[in-house]
Amino acid sequence: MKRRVFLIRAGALVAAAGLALAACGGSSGGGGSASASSSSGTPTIAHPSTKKGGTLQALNDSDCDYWDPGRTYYANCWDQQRWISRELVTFAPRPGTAELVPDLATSVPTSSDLKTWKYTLKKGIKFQDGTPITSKDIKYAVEREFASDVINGGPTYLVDYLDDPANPYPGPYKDPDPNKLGLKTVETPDDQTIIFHLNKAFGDWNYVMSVPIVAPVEKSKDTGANYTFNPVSSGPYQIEKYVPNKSISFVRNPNWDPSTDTVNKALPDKIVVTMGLDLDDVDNRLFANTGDFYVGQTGVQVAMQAKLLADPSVRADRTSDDITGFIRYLSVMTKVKPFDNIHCRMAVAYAIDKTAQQLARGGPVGGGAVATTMITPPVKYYSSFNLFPSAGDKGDVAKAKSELAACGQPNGFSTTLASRSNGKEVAQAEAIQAALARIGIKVTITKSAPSQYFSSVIGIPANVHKNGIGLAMAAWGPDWPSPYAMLDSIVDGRKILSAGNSNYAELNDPVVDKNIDAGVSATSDGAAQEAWTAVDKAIVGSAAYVPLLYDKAFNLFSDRLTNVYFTPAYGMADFAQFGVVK
Amino acid sequence: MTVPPGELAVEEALPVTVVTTEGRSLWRSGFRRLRRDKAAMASGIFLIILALVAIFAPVIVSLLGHPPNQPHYDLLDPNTGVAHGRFGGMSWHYLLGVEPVNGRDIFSRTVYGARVSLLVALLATATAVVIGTVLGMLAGYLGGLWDLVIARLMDLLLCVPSVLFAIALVAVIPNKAFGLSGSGLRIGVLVFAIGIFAWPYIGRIVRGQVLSLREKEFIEASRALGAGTPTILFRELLPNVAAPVLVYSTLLIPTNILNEAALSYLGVGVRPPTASWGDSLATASHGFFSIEPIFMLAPGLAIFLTVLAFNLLGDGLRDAFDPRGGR
Amino acid sequence: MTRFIVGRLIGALVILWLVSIFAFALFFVIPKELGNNPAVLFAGRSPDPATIAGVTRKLGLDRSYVSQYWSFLRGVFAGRHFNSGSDRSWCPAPCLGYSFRNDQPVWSEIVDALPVTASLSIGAAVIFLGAGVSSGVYAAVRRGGWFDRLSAAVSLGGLSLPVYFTGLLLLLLVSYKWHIINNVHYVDFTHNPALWAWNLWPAWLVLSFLYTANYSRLTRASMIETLGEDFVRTARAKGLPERAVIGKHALRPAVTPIVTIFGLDLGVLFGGAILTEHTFGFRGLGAISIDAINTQDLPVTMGVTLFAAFFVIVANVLVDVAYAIIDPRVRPT
Repeated sequence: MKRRVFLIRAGALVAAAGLALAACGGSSGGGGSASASSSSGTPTIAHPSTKKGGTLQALNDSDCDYWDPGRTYYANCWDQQRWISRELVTFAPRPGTAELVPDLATSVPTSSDLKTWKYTLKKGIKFQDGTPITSKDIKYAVEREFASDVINGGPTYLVDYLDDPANPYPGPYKDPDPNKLGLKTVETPDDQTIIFHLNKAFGDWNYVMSVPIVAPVEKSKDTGANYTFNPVSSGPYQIEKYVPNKSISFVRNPNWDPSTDTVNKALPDKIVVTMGLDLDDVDNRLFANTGDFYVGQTGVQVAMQAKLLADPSVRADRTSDDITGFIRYLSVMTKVKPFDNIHCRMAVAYAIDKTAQQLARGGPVGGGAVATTMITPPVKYYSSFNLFPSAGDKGDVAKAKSELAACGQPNGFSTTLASRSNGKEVAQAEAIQAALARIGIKVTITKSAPSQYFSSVIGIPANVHKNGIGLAMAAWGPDWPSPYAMLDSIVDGRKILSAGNSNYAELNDPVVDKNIDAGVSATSDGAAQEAWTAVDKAIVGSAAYVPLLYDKAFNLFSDRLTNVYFTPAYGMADFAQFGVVK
Repeated sequence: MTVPPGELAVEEALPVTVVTTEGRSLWRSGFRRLRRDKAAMASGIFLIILALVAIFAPVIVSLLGHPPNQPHYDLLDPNTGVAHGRFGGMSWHYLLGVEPVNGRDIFSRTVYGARVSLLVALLATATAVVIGTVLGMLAGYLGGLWDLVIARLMDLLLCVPSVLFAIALVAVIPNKAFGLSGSGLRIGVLVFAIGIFAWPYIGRIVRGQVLSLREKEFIEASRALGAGTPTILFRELLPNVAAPVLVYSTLLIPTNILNEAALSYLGVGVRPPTASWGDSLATASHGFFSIEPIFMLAPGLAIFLTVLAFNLLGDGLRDAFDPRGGR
Repeated sequence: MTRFIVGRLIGALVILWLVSIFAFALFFVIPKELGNNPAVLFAGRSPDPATIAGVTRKLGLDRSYVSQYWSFLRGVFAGRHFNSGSDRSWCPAPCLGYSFRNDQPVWSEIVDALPVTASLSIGAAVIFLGAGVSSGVYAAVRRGGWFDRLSAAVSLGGLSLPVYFTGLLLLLLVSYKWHIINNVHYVDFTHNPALWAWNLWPAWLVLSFLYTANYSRLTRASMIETLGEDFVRTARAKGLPERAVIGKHALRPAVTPIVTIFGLDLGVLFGGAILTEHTFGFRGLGAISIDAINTQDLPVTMGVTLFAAFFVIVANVLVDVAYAIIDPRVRPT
């Protein structure tokens, strides 16, 4: 998941610093699905309350990439989707866990062969217009994912595991079936039952069933590419008014039956998300209590951080400092010259000053720790190694220069670095510019709005090539607690898409792909560890991705916000539990 | 964008001094008056020093500061991003302290910022002066259709919101065009965007001046002697408009400095890491100004003092060469 | 008189028409000629090929320039469909463009943002006209006195300070050091007029400081000149008290040129408002156009530009007509 560029990846990201993680959440069986292991201390809920009422004021600098549950891939957008969409299963509403619990389904099933998964839907679940939700609506939502020319942007697990390569399904808009339910691998024998027949064994399937891509979609209300402007709710709230890039407001969904929902508290009567705000403005409003929380959840800006660190009472009462489990990294585009030569990429990997990156994001408190691997410490099968060591992590200029000579560019060259236009990423980009200037690489920074950055700028390889973008800032977290869910979309050579691409550098390394498969199908912990370490080393060694920081977020919230706790499920606070009455 | 001060009251107050045979004495008497204006002289000296600083920036910075784009992370507190020490780390080594988050030398960046501001403002003013003088003379002298079109054009340009157009212009021009790219192209676009909206100020003055000179005897005499239009324009009229053009150009420069700084502040100026005063103010405005004001004060005061100096000099010139107006 | 008004109106229409061509050239012709695909710029930052094709069809970008301009012009008066086969958007008159990124006509965005810019500009204008004119008059009357010299100095300061610098300084003091206003943000007038004014006064102060200077000097110059006129000498000779001389006889002719200048300054005021909005974080026309440029949502930029130009031109016509009504000397024969 991107987090505010992070994609949500639920999961067993356990904060090493004091947040416990309950034992493996959800499904097991099969290798590769693992939650974090260690538990230290008990996670707590700040300001618990069950009082209903009030309007929750959420602040954001940018709109979601999409409100269509089938297309959104931002962590905080998945968290917000909880207000208007329910999935077959979801994450338990408790801190420190990524355990799955049933949502639209009656239970979290197991599968003997890991290929057939059967879910029974609860009774009494309805869309916002009163139409009952049936298994056919879920199948339709799944089918939409196959129409990748129209419905794109989200993760591709459904197509990966449900498509028949010999007879690919064209998506519901081109489906010859009169009911548009022609996908053969998904069975709906009756309105309450849905059965998935995967094309290969996959132990983590229940996690996929927690992702918004399986939120039910009413076929009669599906408007294709425009559905993102008006999705129909299956959750506790419905959209009252949506002004793209400006604001979205939610009111209670009268057809949401709380007796069918053990997860959503739905405490506030109304939720208003104000977007397009300057990040410093967001911080100021939170501090002045005119806003309740920052939707992006990537922490306060460096200036506000300095202020909060000097104010112990506010710091104790209204802030949270969590290791989110996300990785901040630099993509080095393998198809843009001269980065097609591995030595030029390695020159960048050696030259980057990672402590400057940390400083750009707020030091150890707000920025996180220096990263040398792509799998982050809270995720299972993390192992520490450093393929591009340098004194104090400030970069090794001499080695970088020799790599430049090896790739035939001893005097450096010019390239473009893409970054989002606000927040700390700009400072990161400028630090990279300064670091690479030391070895003669002249970097021009190009900035884009966050809501477009991934979907339009670096997520479309053709645009990347055309605009000569050689480097791009990126951040990512696991979709759910496993290295597979963390890495597959971003490094798998078979996952390079022409639109909505997440493997920005277009890394296509058979060693990586082979070991991902080995990791997913490993039958023992040892084999899995070996496979995943091999994947990580191959990624970092290719220098197509340079890990920068293990992310941390120092967040501020208002003095009236209740039920605040960090959930490893989304790598941030669980929005569905918030209330505003103490 | 801002307007040069007192500009529009000018039409009535233009000197109608005939210059041909008394050319030298106008200049000489004008400069004599100027020398008596202490504020203008002080400004003039300040600006000469500023120009020297801008030209010799690399030397000055290597003696008194550090390279402007070089970060100094060790000077900063890792958790707050702010420099250790008071006033943002001001010391003998870092005369104005260092920037938060990257620790760049504020003194050097202010000195280098002068280069960008002065370069863009002077080039834009030069552009405006050339276009304005030529079109103003044509409109005033040739009259008829020329005047109609050019005067309408000036009205048009004065009416549209120039800031928006300037920003939009920067946005629509791609990274490589007209054989230029990168910083050079951006500076060219800025000069064009500012100059294109500034020339009517000069154009109107020149046009007004030429209109009143057109009927004078010396022009008639030239015509009688068989001089063609270009000769009349450049030999007879141009020297006579030189004085007001000089005055108003000097008053236009500070406006253009403010315009360039405004565009940089809005994010369409020269690209990072090139130092620019407007860009520094923009970065400072993102929260740090409340913790570390020096970061904002240095570029702000630099702009203020430069603009003030040009304004004082321009006022002085106007008072010296045009005693009737304004006093 | 009627001929004068009609003449000015026709002149204004001509200029408006020229502005529309200028804008059209800037946003449709120049990008294409320089190798940028306008569809990309209009769809919002490097979109995928399907979207680009859709936008090209909707805007008719593959047609000739004349044909595109004609559609655009017609849209302004009669509304316009943006049709790309699979989906259709209706942009009601006045259609100044359609923002594909936000899926709504530019006009509605302008209407939403207008109250903010209007509040800021009108409030500041009231202050700077009032303060500027009165201080200019006083400085002219007490010419050479301490007030004259002080106001000259302050004027010079105001002209030389960038508005965002003054704004930041004021914010620093008002919000951070003295905690007078904790979090400056725009409050709608209809919600709470008191809070509306309370949050706006720092911005008013900053924006008006810039222009008070100019108007003060202009008024002073104009007043001095008027005071030197014969009719003033006559009034004095008649024995009228000085206050009556200034207030009843000299003031009106001295001030009327200021009105014309104000009209011409509206375009510049808009520029100042953009900068002030950015400094204080108000979401007015300036903020939405800057956002639009950063996200390459050119329809919004173009729409706001046209709207602002239209507004300035109309205001100037009104000012000219008013001036002609007040001062018969100005009317052309």
